[in-house]
Amino acid sequence: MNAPRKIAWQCIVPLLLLAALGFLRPPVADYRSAAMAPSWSHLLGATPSGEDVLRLCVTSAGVTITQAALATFGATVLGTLIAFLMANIGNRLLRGIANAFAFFLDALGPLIPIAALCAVAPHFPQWGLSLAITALCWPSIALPVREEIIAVHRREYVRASIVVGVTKWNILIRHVMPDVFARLVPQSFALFSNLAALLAALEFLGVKGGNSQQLGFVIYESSGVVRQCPWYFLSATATLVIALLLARRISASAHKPALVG
Amino acid sequence: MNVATGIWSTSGWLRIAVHLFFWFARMCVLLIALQSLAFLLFDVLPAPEFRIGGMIAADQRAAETFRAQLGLQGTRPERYLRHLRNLTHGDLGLTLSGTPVADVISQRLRTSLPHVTLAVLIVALIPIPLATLFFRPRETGSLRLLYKLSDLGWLPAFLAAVIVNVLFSVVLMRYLPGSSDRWRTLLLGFCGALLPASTLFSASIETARELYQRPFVSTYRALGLSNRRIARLLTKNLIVALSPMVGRLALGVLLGTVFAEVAFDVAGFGRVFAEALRSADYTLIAGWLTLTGTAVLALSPVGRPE
Repeated sequence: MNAPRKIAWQCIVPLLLLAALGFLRPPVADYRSAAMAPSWSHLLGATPSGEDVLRLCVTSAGVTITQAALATFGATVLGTLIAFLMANIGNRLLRGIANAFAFFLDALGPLIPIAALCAVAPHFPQWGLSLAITALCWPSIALPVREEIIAVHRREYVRASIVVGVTKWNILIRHVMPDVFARLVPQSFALFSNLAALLAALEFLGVKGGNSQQLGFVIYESSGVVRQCPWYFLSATATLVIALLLARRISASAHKPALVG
Repeated sequence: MNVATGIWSTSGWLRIAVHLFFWFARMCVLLIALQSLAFLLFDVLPAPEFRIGGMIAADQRAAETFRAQLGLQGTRPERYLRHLRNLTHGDLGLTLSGTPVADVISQRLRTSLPHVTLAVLIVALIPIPLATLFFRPRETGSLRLLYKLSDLGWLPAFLAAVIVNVLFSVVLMRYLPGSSDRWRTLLLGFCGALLPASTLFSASIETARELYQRPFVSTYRALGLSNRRIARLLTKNLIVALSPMVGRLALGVLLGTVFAEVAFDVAGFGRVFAEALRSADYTLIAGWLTLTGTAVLALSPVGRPE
Protein backbone atom coordinates (compact mmCIF):
# COMPACT_ATOMS: atom_id res chain seq x y z
CA MET A 1 0.00 0.00 0.00
CA ASN A 2 1.50 3.40 -0.97
CA ALA A 3 2.01 6.14 1.60
CA PRO A 4 -0.89 8.52 0.69
CA ARG A 5 -3.35 5.65 0.59
CA LYS A 6 -2.08 4.46 3.97
CA ILE A 7 -2.60 7.94 5.41
CA ALA A 8 -6.10 8.07 3.92
CA TRP A 9 -7.02 4.75 5.54
CA GLN A 10 -5.49 5.82 8.84
CA CYS A 11 -7.82 8.82 8.77
CA ILE A 12 -10.93 7.02 7.53
CA VAL A 13 -10.82 4.45 10.36
CA PRO A 14 -11.16 6.97 13.24
CA LEU A 15 -13.91 8.82 11.36
CA LEU A 16 -15.84 5.59 10.86
CA LEU A 17 -15.24 4.65 14.49
CA LEU A 18 -16.56 8.04 15.62
CA ALA A 19 -19.65 7.67 13.43
CA ALA A 20 -20.25 4.10 14.69
CA LEU A 21 -19.79 5.11 18.32
CA GLY A 22 -22.18 7.99 17.82
CA PHE A 23 -24.67 5.64 16.22
CA LEU A 24 -24.37 3.03 18.98
CA ARG A 25 -24.31 5.62 21.79
CA PRO A 26 -21.77 4.06 24.19
CA PRO A 27 -23.09 3.37 27.68
CA VAL A 28 -20.58 5.61 29.47
CA ALA A 29 -23.14 8.20 30.53
CA ASP A 30 -23.42 8.77 34.21
CA TYR A 31 -25.71 11.58 35.27
CA ARG A 32 -24.52 13.50 38.31
CA SER A 33 -25.98 16.59 39.85
CA ALA A 34 -23.16 18.99 39.03
CA ALA A 35 -20.24 19.64 36.70
CA MET A 36 -17.21 17.47 37.32
CA ALA A 37 -13.59 17.93 36.31
CA PRO A 38 -11.99 15.14 34.25
CA SER A 39 -11.26 12.03 36.28
CA TRP A 40 -10.79 8.31 35.71
CA SER A 41 -14.53 7.71 35.91
CA HIS A 42 -15.24 10.64 33.52
CA LEU A 43 -12.27 11.00 31.22
CA LEU A 44 -13.37 14.38 29.82
CA GLY A 45 -15.39 15.50 32.83
CA ALA A 46 -19.12 16.17 33.06
CA THR A 47 -21.36 19.04 31.95
CA PRO A 48 -23.21 21.35 34.42
CA SER A 49 -26.29 19.21 33.87
CA GLY A 50 -24.24 16.16 34.86
CA GLU A 51 -23.86 14.49 31.47
CA ASP A 52 -20.63 12.77 30.61
CA VAL A 53 -18.70 15.02 28.18
CA LEU A 54 -17.03 12.11 26.36
CA ARG A 55 -20.37 10.50 25.62
CA LEU A 56 -21.91 13.81 24.58
CA CYS A 57 -19.03 14.66 22.22
CA VAL A 58 -18.92 11.21 20.66
CA THR A 59 -22.68 11.02 20.23
CA SER A 60 -23.06 14.50 18.77
CA ALA A 61 -20.00 14.07 16.52
CA GLY A 62 -21.44 10.75 15.35
CA VAL A 63 -24.73 12.42 14.41
CA THR A 64 -22.95 15.26 12.55
CA ILE A 65 -20.58 12.89 10.75
CA THR A 66 -23.34 10.45 9.77
CA GLN A 67 -25.51 13.25 8.42
CA ALA A 68 -22.61 14.85 6.54
CA ALA A 69 -21.61 11.44 5.15
CA LEU A 70 -25.18 10.80 3.99
CA ALA A 71 -25.38 14.15 2.24
CA THR A 72 -21.92 13.67 0.71
CA PHE A 73 -22.82 10.21 -0.54
CA GLY A 74 -26.04 11.53 -2.06
CA ALA A 75 -24.31 14.51 -3.71
CA THR A 76 -21.50 12.28 -5.01
CA VAL A 77 -23.82 9.68 -6.54
CA LEU A 78 -26.18 12.28 -8.03
CA GLY A 79 -23.34 14.52 -9.19
CA THR A 80 -21.44 11.65 -10.84
CA LEU A 81 -24.55 10.38 -12.62
CA ILE A 82 -25.40 13.83 -13.92
CA ALA A 83 -21.76 14.39 -14.92
CA PHE A 84 -21.79 11.19 -17.00
CA LEU A 85 -25.07 12.27 -18.59
CA MET A 86 -23.74 15.75 -19.34
CA ALA A 87 -20.46 14.44 -20.77
CA ASN A 88 -21.90 11.63 -22.88
CA ILE A 89 -25.22 13.04 -24.03
CA GLY A 90 -24.03 16.65 -24.01
CA ASN A 91 -27.27 17.82 -22.46
CA ARG A 92 -27.27 21.62 -22.51
CA LEU A 93 -30.25 21.87 -20.18
CA LEU A 94 -28.50 19.84 -17.46
CA ARG A 95 -25.33 21.89 -17.88
CA GLY A 96 -27.35 25.10 -17.65
CA ILE A 97 -29.06 23.90 -14.46
CA ALA A 98 -25.72 22.84 -12.97
CA ASN A 99 -24.16 26.20 -13.83
CA ALA A 100 -27.12 28.12 -12.40
CA PHE A 101 -26.92 26.08 -9.17
CA ALA A 102 -23.17 26.60 -9.04
CA PHE A 103 -23.60 30.37 -9.56
CA PHE A 104 -26.16 30.72 -6.76
CA LEU A 105 -24.09 28.46 -4.52
CA ASP A 106 -21.05 30.57 -5.26
CA ALA A 107 -22.93 33.80 -4.61
CA LEU A 108 -25.05 32.84 -1.59
CA GLY A 109 -23.33 29.72 -0.26
CA PRO A 110 -25.26 26.69 0.93
CA LEU A 111 -25.68 27.88 4.51
CA ILE A 112 -28.17 30.71 4.01
CA PRO A 113 -30.72 28.80 1.84
CA ILE A 114 -30.54 25.67 4.00
CA ALA A 115 -30.87 27.71 7.19
CA ALA A 116 -33.96 29.43 5.74
CA LEU A 117 -35.38 26.05 4.71
CA CYS A 118 -34.84 24.61 8.19
CA ALA A 119 -36.46 27.67 9.79
CA VAL A 120 -39.55 27.33 7.61
CA ALA A 121 -39.82 23.58 8.16
CA PRO A 122 -38.45 22.97 11.67
CA HIS A 123 -39.85 19.44 11.83
CA PHE A 124 -37.69 18.45 8.90
CA PRO A 125 -36.37 14.92 9.56
CA GLN A 126 -32.66 14.24 9.60
CA TRP A 127 -32.73 12.43 6.26
CA GLY A 128 -34.75 15.33 4.81
CA LEU A 129 -31.98 17.76 5.66
CA SER A 130 -29.40 15.45 4.08
CA LEU A 131 -31.61 15.27 1.00
CA ALA A 132 -31.93 19.07 0.82
CA ILE A 133 -28.15 19.43 1.06
CA THR A 134 -27.73 16.78 -1.63
CA ALA A 135 -30.15 18.64 -3.89
CA LEU A 136 -28.16 21.83 -3.42
CA CYS A 137 -24.56 20.57 -3.48
CA TRP A 138 -24.47 18.08 -6.39
CA PRO A 139 -22.99 20.63 -8.88
CA SER A 140 -19.81 20.84 -6.79
CA ILE A 141 -19.21 17.19 -7.76
CA ALA A 142 -20.88 17.15 -11.19
CA LEU A 143 -18.96 20.03 -12.80
CA PRO A 144 -15.39 18.87 -12.01
CA VAL A 145 -16.25 15.24 -12.81
CA ARG A 146 -17.70 16.28 -16.18
CA GLU A 147 -14.48 18.19 -16.92
CA GLU A 148 -12.46 15.10 -16.03
CA ILE A 149 -14.56 12.82 -18.25
CA ILE A 150 -14.22 15.20 -21.21
CA ALA A 151 -10.46 15.54 -20.57
CA VAL A 152 -10.05 11.74 -20.53
CA HIS A 153 -12.02 11.38 -23.77
CA ARG A 154 -9.69 13.89 -25.45
CA ARG A 155 -6.50 11.98 -24.58
CA GLU A 156 -4.68 10.34 -27.45
CA TYR A 157 -4.71 6.80 -26.09
CA VAL A 158 -8.47 6.98 -25.60
CA ARG A 159 -8.94 8.26 -29.16
CA ALA A 160 -6.66 5.47 -30.36
CA SER A 161 -8.79 2.94 -28.48
CA ILE A 162 -11.92 4.27 -30.19
CA VAL A 163 -10.23 4.02 -33.61
CA VAL A 164 -9.08 0.45 -32.89
CA GLY A 165 -12.69 -0.43 -32.07
CA VAL A 166 -12.72 -0.79 -28.29
CA THR A 167 -16.30 -0.66 -27.07
CA LYS A 168 -17.68 2.33 -25.17
CA TRP A 169 -18.20 0.17 -22.10
CA ASN A 170 -14.56 -1.00 -22.10
CA ILE A 171 -13.31 2.58 -22.49
CA LEU A 172 -15.50 3.60 -19.58
CA ILE A 173 -14.22 0.83 -17.32
CA ARG A 174 -10.54 0.90 -18.34
CA HIS A 175 -9.83 4.58 -18.93
CA VAL A 176 -12.58 6.86 -17.71
CA MET A 177 -13.54 5.32 -14.36
CA PRO A 178 -10.02 5.15 -12.82
CA ASP A 179 -9.33 8.80 -13.59
CA VAL A 180 -12.77 9.91 -12.50
CA PHE A 181 -12.38 8.07 -9.19
CA ALA A 182 -8.96 9.61 -8.69
CA ARG A 183 -10.64 13.01 -8.84
CA LEU A 184 -13.86 11.99 -7.12
CA VAL A 185 -12.35 10.75 -3.86
CA PRO A 186 -10.58 13.98 -2.83
CA GLN A 187 -13.56 16.04 -4.06
CA SER A 188 -15.96 13.96 -1.98
CA PHE A 189 -13.88 14.18 1.18
CA ALA A 190 -13.44 17.92 0.72
CA LEU A 191 -17.22 18.17 0.34
CA PHE A 192 -17.68 15.97 3.42
CA SER A 193 -15.45 18.28 5.45
CA ASN A 194 -17.39 21.34 4.23
CA LEU A 195 -20.75 19.71 4.95
CA ALA A 196 -19.73 18.65 8.46
CA ALA A 197 -18.74 22.27 9.12
CA LEU A 198 -21.99 23.47 7.52
CA LEU A 199 -24.14 21.20 9.70
CA ALA A 200 -22.28 22.29 12.82
CA ALA A 201 -22.74 25.94 11.80
CA LEU A 202 -26.48 25.41 11.28
CA GLU A 203 -26.79 23.92 14.77
CA PHE A 204 -24.77 26.80 16.14
CA LEU A 205 -27.29 29.22 14.61
CA GLY A 206 -30.10 27.28 16.25
CA VAL A 207 -31.57 25.51 13.24
CA LYS A 208 -31.35 21.77 12.71
CA GLY A 209 -32.95 18.76 11.06
CA GLY A 210 -34.26 16.04 13.34
CA ASN A 211 -34.18 15.89 17.11
CA SER A 212 -30.68 14.58 17.73
CA GLN A 213 -28.18 16.91 19.33
CA GLN A 214 -25.30 17.81 17.05
CA LEU A 215 -21.80 19.12 17.58
CA GLY A 216 -22.65 22.74 16.69
CA PHE A 217 -25.18 23.00 19.49
CA VAL A 218 -22.79 21.35 21.96
CA ILE A 219 -20.14 23.95 21.07
CA TYR A 220 -22.69 26.78 21.45
CA GLU A 221 -23.85 25.43 24.79
CA SER A 222 -20.33 24.79 26.08
CA SER A 223 -19.16 28.31 25.15
CA GLY A 224 -21.83 29.68 27.51
CA VAL A 225 -20.43 27.76 30.50
CA VAL A 226 -16.77 28.01 29.65
CA ARG A 227 -15.82 29.58 32.99
CA GLN A 228 -17.68 26.90 34.93
CA CYS A 229 -16.35 23.89 33.01
CA PRO A 230 -13.67 24.71 30.44
CA TRP A 231 -13.08 20.98 29.75
CA TYR A 232 -16.54 20.81 28.16
CA PHE A 233 -15.76 23.59 25.68
CA LEU A 234 -12.27 22.26 24.93
CA SER A 235 -13.52 18.73 24.32
CA ALA A 236 -16.40 19.82 22.05
CA THR A 237 -14.17 22.13 20.00
CA ALA A 238 -11.40 19.55 19.76
CA THR A 239 -13.85 16.88 18.55
CA LEU A 240 -15.02 19.04 15.64
CA VAL A 241 -11.48 20.15 14.78
CA ILE A 242 -10.25 16.53 14.78
CA ALA A 243 -13.13 15.36 12.58
CA LEU A 244 -12.54 18.19 10.08
CA LEU A 245 -8.78 17.67 10.09
CA LEU A 246 -9.19 13.94 9.41
CA ALA A 247 -11.49 14.64 6.46
CA ARG A 248 -9.09 17.24 5.08
CA ARG A 249 -6.15 14.89 5.49
CA ILE A 250 -7.96 12.18 3.53
CA SER A 251 -8.83 14.69 0.81
CA ALA A 252 -5.20 15.88 0.59
CA SER A 253 -3.63 12.42 0.64
CA ALA A 254 -6.10 10.98 -1.87
CA HIS A 255 -5.44 13.81 -4.29
CA LYS A 256 -3.58 12.53 -7.34
CA PRO A 257 -2.10 15.11 -9.70
CA ALA A 258 -3.86 15.08 -13.06
CA LEU A 259 -2.04 13.53 -15.98
CA VAL A 260 -0.35 15.96 -18.28
CA GLY A 261 -1.87 16.23 -21.73
CA MET B 1 -2.11 51.15 -27.59
CA ASN B 2 -2.03 52.78 -24.20
CA VAL B 3 -4.63 51.08 -22.02
CA ALA B 4 -5.68 54.28 -20.28
CA THR B 5 -6.32 56.06 -23.59
CA GLY B 6 -8.32 53.04 -24.78
CA ILE B 7 -10.63 53.10 -21.77
CA TRP B 8 -11.23 56.86 -21.62
CA SER B 9 -11.86 57.33 -25.35
CA THR B 10 -15.45 57.60 -26.70
CA SER B 11 -15.56 53.93 -27.61
CA GLY B 12 -14.18 53.16 -24.15
CA TRP B 13 -17.04 55.07 -22.48
CA LEU B 14 -19.50 53.27 -24.73
CA ARG B 15 -18.04 49.92 -23.71
CA ILE B 16 -18.35 50.84 -20.03
CA ALA B 17 -21.97 51.99 -20.57
CA VAL B 18 -22.85 48.72 -22.37
CA HIS B 19 -21.11 46.71 -19.65
CA LEU B 20 -23.02 48.60 -16.93
CA PHE B 21 -26.30 48.16 -18.79
CA PHE B 22 -25.83 44.41 -19.07
CA TRP B 23 -24.69 44.23 -15.45
CA PHE B 24 -27.84 46.08 -14.37
CA ALA B 25 -30.09 43.88 -16.54
CA ARG B 26 -28.48 40.71 -15.20
CA MET B 27 -28.77 42.09 -11.69
CA CYS B 28 -32.54 42.69 -12.15
CA VAL B 29 -33.07 39.16 -13.52
CA LEU B 30 -31.09 37.61 -10.67
CA LEU B 31 -32.92 39.69 -8.09
CA ILE B 32 -36.32 38.66 -9.44
CA ALA B 33 -35.15 35.02 -9.52
CA LEU B 34 -33.94 35.29 -5.93
CA GLN B 35 -37.17 36.93 -4.81
CA SER B 36 -39.29 34.32 -6.56
CA LEU B 37 -37.27 31.52 -4.95
CA ALA B 38 -37.60 33.09 -1.51
CA PHE B 39 -41.33 33.66 -2.04
CA LEU B 40 -41.85 30.07 -3.19
CA LEU B 41 -39.81 28.71 -0.30
CA PHE B 42 -41.94 30.50 2.24
CA ASP B 43 -45.27 30.27 0.47
CA VAL B 44 -45.27 26.62 -0.60
CA LEU B 45 -44.05 25.24 2.70
CA PRO B 46 -46.36 25.48 5.76
CA ALA B 47 -46.72 29.12 6.79
CA PRO B 48 -44.45 29.63 9.80
CA GLU B 49 -46.32 32.56 11.33
CA PHE B 50 -49.10 30.23 12.52
CA ARG B 51 -46.78 28.29 14.74
CA ILE B 52 -46.25 31.34 16.91
CA GLY B 53 -48.34 31.22 20.04
CA GLY B 54 -50.05 27.99 19.00
CA MET B 55 -51.78 29.68 16.08
CA ILE B 56 -51.84 26.41 14.19
CA ALA B 57 -54.46 25.13 16.57
CA ALA B 58 -56.37 28.42 16.53
CA ASP B 59 -59.59 28.89 14.58
CA GLN B 60 -59.57 29.80 10.90
CA ARG B 61 -60.81 33.37 11.44
CA ALA B 62 -58.02 34.24 13.87
CA ALA B 63 -55.51 32.79 11.44
CA GLU B 64 -56.95 34.87 8.56
CA THR B 65 -56.80 38.05 10.67
CA PHE B 66 -53.21 37.32 11.59
CA ARG B 67 -52.31 36.73 7.93
CA ALA B 68 -53.99 40.03 7.00
CA GLN B 69 -51.98 41.83 9.70
CA LEU B 70 -48.81 40.46 8.17
CA GLY B 71 -50.00 41.40 4.67
CA LEU B 72 -50.30 37.76 3.56
CA GLN B 73 -53.96 37.76 2.51
CA GLY B 74 -55.20 36.93 -1.02
CA THR B 75 -54.30 34.24 -3.52
CA ARG B 76 -50.72 33.24 -4.24
CA PRO B 77 -50.28 35.32 -7.46
CA GLU B 78 -51.84 38.33 -5.71
CA ARG B 79 -49.46 37.95 -2.81
CA TYR B 80 -46.50 37.60 -5.15
CA LEU B 81 -47.39 40.72 -7.14
CA ARG B 82 -48.03 42.70 -3.96
CA HIS B 83 -44.72 41.44 -2.59
CA LEU B 84 -42.86 42.68 -5.70
CA ARG B 85 -44.75 46.01 -5.70
CA ASN B 86 -43.97 46.61 -2.03
CA LEU B 87 -40.37 45.75 -2.67
CA THR B 88 -40.04 48.50 -5.28
CA HIS B 89 -41.21 50.97 -2.57
CA GLY B 90 -38.69 49.62 -0.06
CA ASP B 91 -41.45 48.00 2.00
CA LEU B 92 -40.18 44.66 3.30
CA GLY B 93 -43.28 43.90 5.39
CA LEU B 94 -43.83 43.47 9.12
CA THR B 95 -42.09 41.21 11.60
CA LEU B 96 -44.06 38.87 13.87
CA SER B 97 -43.93 41.52 16.59
CA GLY B 98 -45.48 44.06 14.19
CA THR B 99 -42.39 46.23 13.62
CA PRO B 100 -41.50 47.09 10.00
CA VAL B 101 -38.69 44.83 8.79
CA ALA B 102 -36.87 47.78 7.19
CA ASP B 103 -36.77 49.58 10.57
CA VAL B 104 -35.44 46.53 12.41
CA ILE B 105 -32.76 45.94 9.81
CA SER B 106 -31.67 49.59 9.59
CA GLN B 107 -31.45 49.80 13.38
CA ARG B 108 -29.35 46.64 13.54
CA LEU B 109 -27.20 47.83 10.64
CA ARG B 110 -26.27 50.90 12.65
CA THR B 111 -24.98 48.65 15.46
CA SER B 112 -23.01 46.50 13.02
CA LEU B 113 -21.58 49.31 10.93
CA PRO B 114 -18.29 49.81 12.89
CA HIS B 115 -17.17 46.20 12.91
CA VAL B 116 -18.45 45.43 9.38
CA THR B 117 -16.50 48.46 8.09
CA LEU B 118 -13.45 47.24 9.96
CA ALA B 119 -13.85 43.73 8.48
CA VAL B 120 -14.19 45.14 4.95
CA LEU B 121 -11.11 47.33 5.50
CA ILE B 122 -9.08 44.36 6.76
CA VAL B 123 -10.06 42.27 3.71
CA ALA B 124 -9.48 45.11 1.26
CA LEU B 125 -6.22 46.46 2.65
CA ILE B 126 -4.24 43.61 4.19
CA PRO B 127 -4.11 40.34 2.16
CA ILE B 128 -3.06 41.61 -1.29
CA PRO B 129 -0.37 44.08 -0.09
CA LEU B 130 0.89 41.41 2.33
CA ALA B 131 1.10 38.88 -0.48
CA THR B 132 2.94 41.29 -2.81
CA LEU B 133 5.26 42.36 0.00
CA PHE B 134 6.29 38.87 1.03
CA PHE B 135 6.04 37.00 -2.23
CA ARG B 136 9.31 35.89 -3.77
CA PRO B 137 9.84 33.44 -6.65
CA ARG B 138 11.59 31.17 -4.14
CA GLU B 139 9.72 30.44 -0.93
CA THR B 140 11.12 32.24 2.08
CA GLY B 141 10.61 31.37 5.74
CA SER B 142 8.32 34.35 6.39
CA LEU B 143 6.17 33.52 3.36
CA ARG B 144 5.90 29.90 4.46
CA LEU B 145 4.82 31.02 7.93
CA LEU B 146 2.18 33.38 6.49
CA TYR B 147 1.00 30.65 4.15
CA LYS B 148 0.61 28.27 7.08
CA LEU B 149 -1.32 30.92 9.00
CA SER B 150 -3.62 31.58 6.05
CA ASP B 151 -4.21 27.84 5.79
CA LEU B 152 -6.23 28.23 9.00
CA GLY B 153 -8.99 29.48 6.71
CA TRP B 154 -10.39 25.92 6.69
CA LEU B 155 -11.51 26.48 10.28
CA PRO B 156 -15.27 27.10 10.20
CA ALA B 157 -16.12 30.78 10.72
CA PHE B 158 -18.40 30.00 13.66
CA LEU B 159 -15.69 28.00 15.44
CA ALA B 160 -13.13 30.77 14.92
CA ALA B 161 -15.63 33.32 16.32
CA VAL B 162 -16.38 31.15 19.37
CA ILE B 163 -12.69 30.54 20.09
CA VAL B 164 -11.86 34.26 19.78
CA ASN B 165 -14.81 35.15 22.02
CA VAL B 166 -13.77 32.64 24.69
CA LEU B 167 -10.16 33.81 24.54
CA PHE B 168 -11.32 37.42 24.83
CA SER B 169 -13.82 36.98 27.63
CA VAL B 170 -11.86 34.46 29.72
CA VAL B 171 -8.20 35.32 29.17
CA LEU B 172 -7.54 38.59 27.33
CA MET B 173 -10.09 40.89 28.98
CA ARG B 174 -8.07 40.98 32.19
CA TYR B 175 -4.89 42.15 30.48
CA LEU B 176 -6.14 44.44 27.71
CA PRO B 177 -5.99 48.18 28.46
CA GLY B 178 -8.80 50.63 27.62
CA SER B 179 -12.50 49.98 27.24
CA SER B 180 -13.62 46.44 26.54
CA ASP B 181 -16.22 47.70 24.02
CA ARG B 182 -13.51 48.99 21.73
CA TRP B 183 -11.65 45.69 21.91
CA ARG B 184 -14.89 43.85 21.30
CA THR B 185 -15.54 45.88 18.12
CA LEU B 186 -11.99 45.18 17.00
CA LEU B 187 -12.36 41.45 17.57
CA LEU B 188 -15.77 41.38 15.88
CA GLY B 189 -14.19 42.97 12.81
CA PHE B 190 -11.31 40.52 13.00
CA CYS B 191 -13.68 37.51 13.22
CA GLY B 192 -15.74 38.82 10.29
CA ALA B 193 -12.62 39.22 8.16
CA LEU B 194 -10.72 36.10 9.19
CA LEU B 195 -12.04 33.62 6.64
CA PRO B 196 -12.26 35.94 3.58
CA ALA B 197 -8.87 37.49 4.34
CA SER B 198 -7.14 34.12 4.58
CA THR B 199 -8.86 32.95 1.37
CA LEU B 200 -7.80 36.13 -0.42
CA PHE B 201 -4.22 35.82 0.84
CA SER B 202 -3.93 32.20 -0.39
CA ALA B 203 -5.44 33.17 -3.75
CA SER B 204 -3.08 36.17 -4.03
CA ILE B 205 -0.04 33.97 -3.45
CA GLU B 206 -1.25 31.42 -6.01
CA THR B 207 -1.97 34.14 -8.58
CA ALA B 208 1.36 35.86 -7.90
CA ARG B 209 3.10 32.52 -8.45
CA GLU B 210 1.37 32.19 -11.83
CA LEU B 211 2.10 35.81 -12.77
CA TYR B 212 5.81 35.37 -12.00
CA GLN B 213 6.02 32.73 -14.73
CA ARG B 214 4.76 35.11 -17.43
CA PRO B 215 7.24 36.31 -20.09
CA PHE B 216 6.90 40.01 -19.19
CA VAL B 217 8.22 39.27 -15.69
CA SER B 218 11.30 37.69 -17.29
CA THR B 219 11.70 40.94 -19.24
CA TYR B 220 11.46 42.95 -16.01
CA ARG B 221 14.15 40.73 -14.51
CA ALA B 222 16.33 41.07 -17.59
CA LEU B 223 15.99 44.83 -17.25
CA GLY B 224 17.35 44.50 -13.73
CA LEU B 225 14.24 45.43 -11.74
CA SER B 226 14.32 44.40 -8.10
CA ASN B 227 11.88 41.82 -6.74
CA ARG B 228 10.12 44.50 -4.72
CA ARG B 229 9.66 46.72 -7.78
CA ILE B 230 8.34 43.77 -9.81
CA ALA B 231 5.93 42.92 -7.00
CA ARG B 232 4.67 46.50 -6.98
CA LEU B 233 4.17 46.41 -10.75
CA LEU B 234 2.29 43.14 -10.46
CA THR B 235 -0.16 44.46 -7.83
CA LYS B 236 -2.46 45.86 -10.52
CA ASN B 237 -2.49 42.55 -12.41
CA LEU B 238 -3.15 40.77 -9.14
CA ILE B 239 -6.17 42.97 -8.34
CA VAL B 240 -7.63 42.47 -11.83
CA ALA B 241 -7.09 38.70 -11.65
CA LEU B 242 -8.70 38.46 -8.20
CA SER B 243 -11.66 40.77 -8.86
CA PRO B 244 -14.07 37.87 -9.62
CA MET B 245 -13.70 36.94 -5.96
CA VAL B 246 -15.38 40.13 -4.70
CA GLY B 247 -18.83 38.57 -4.30
CA ARG B 248 -17.47 35.53 -2.51
CA LEU B 249 -15.44 37.74 -0.18
CA ALA B 250 -18.53 39.84 0.58
CA LEU B 251 -20.39 36.63 1.45
CA GLY B 252 -17.48 35.60 3.66
CA VAL B 253 -17.57 38.90 5.54
CA LEU B 254 -21.35 38.62 5.90
CA LEU B 255 -21.28 35.08 7.29
CA GLY B 256 -18.30 35.91 9.50
CA THR B 257 -20.30 38.84 10.91
CA VAL B 258 -23.34 36.61 11.55
CA PHE B 259 -21.26 34.09 13.51
CA ALA B 260 -19.20 36.72 15.30
CA GLU B 261 -22.33 38.56 16.48
CA VAL B 262 -23.94 35.32 17.66
CA ALA B 263 -20.75 34.28 19.47
CA PHE B 264 -20.17 37.72 21.04
CA ASP B 265 -23.89 38.20 21.74
CA VAL B 266 -24.08 41.54 19.89
CA ALA B 267 -27.53 42.59 18.66
CA GLY B 268 -26.43 43.53 15.15
CA PHE B 269 -27.36 42.89 11.54
CA GLY B 270 -25.95 39.35 11.57
CA ARG B 271 -27.60 38.30 14.80
CA VAL B 272 -31.00 39.42 13.53
CA PHE B 273 -30.82 36.62 10.95
CA ALA B 274 -30.14 34.02 13.66
CA GLU B 275 -33.00 35.44 15.75
CA ALA B 276 -35.34 35.35 12.76
CA LEU B 277 -34.36 31.74 12.07
CA ARG B 278 -34.99 30.69 15.64
CA SER B 279 -38.39 32.39 15.81
CA ALA B 280 -39.28 31.38 12.21
CA ASP B 281 -40.07 35.01 11.37
CA TYR B 282 -41.08 34.70 7.70
CA THR B 283 -40.94 38.33 6.70
CA LEU B 284 -37.75 39.11 8.59
CA ILE B 285 -35.90 36.17 6.99
CA ALA B 286 -37.22 37.16 3.54
CA GLY B 287 -36.20 40.82 4.09
CA TRP B 288 -32.75 39.86 5.31
CA LEU B 289 -32.31 37.47 2.36
CA THR B 290 -33.40 40.18 -0.07
CA LEU B 291 -30.92 42.74 1.24
CA THR B 292 -27.95 40.43 1.59
CA GLY B 293 -28.72 38.55 -1.63
CA THR B 294 -28.90 41.83 -3.54
CA ALA B 295 -25.62 43.04 -2.08
CA VAL B 296 -23.77 39.79 -2.76
CA LEU B 297 -25.26 39.27 -6.22
CA ALA B 298 -24.55 42.90 -7.13
CA LEU B 299 -20.90 42.36 -6.27
CA SER B 300 -20.64 38.89 -7.81
CA PRO B 301 -20.65 39.83 -11.50
CA VAL B 302 -18.37 42.86 -10.99
CA GLY B 303 -15.19 41.02 -11.77
CA ARG B 304 -16.55 38.50 -14.23
CA PRO B 305 -14.21 38.46 -17.22
CA GLU B 306 -16.00 39.88 -20.24
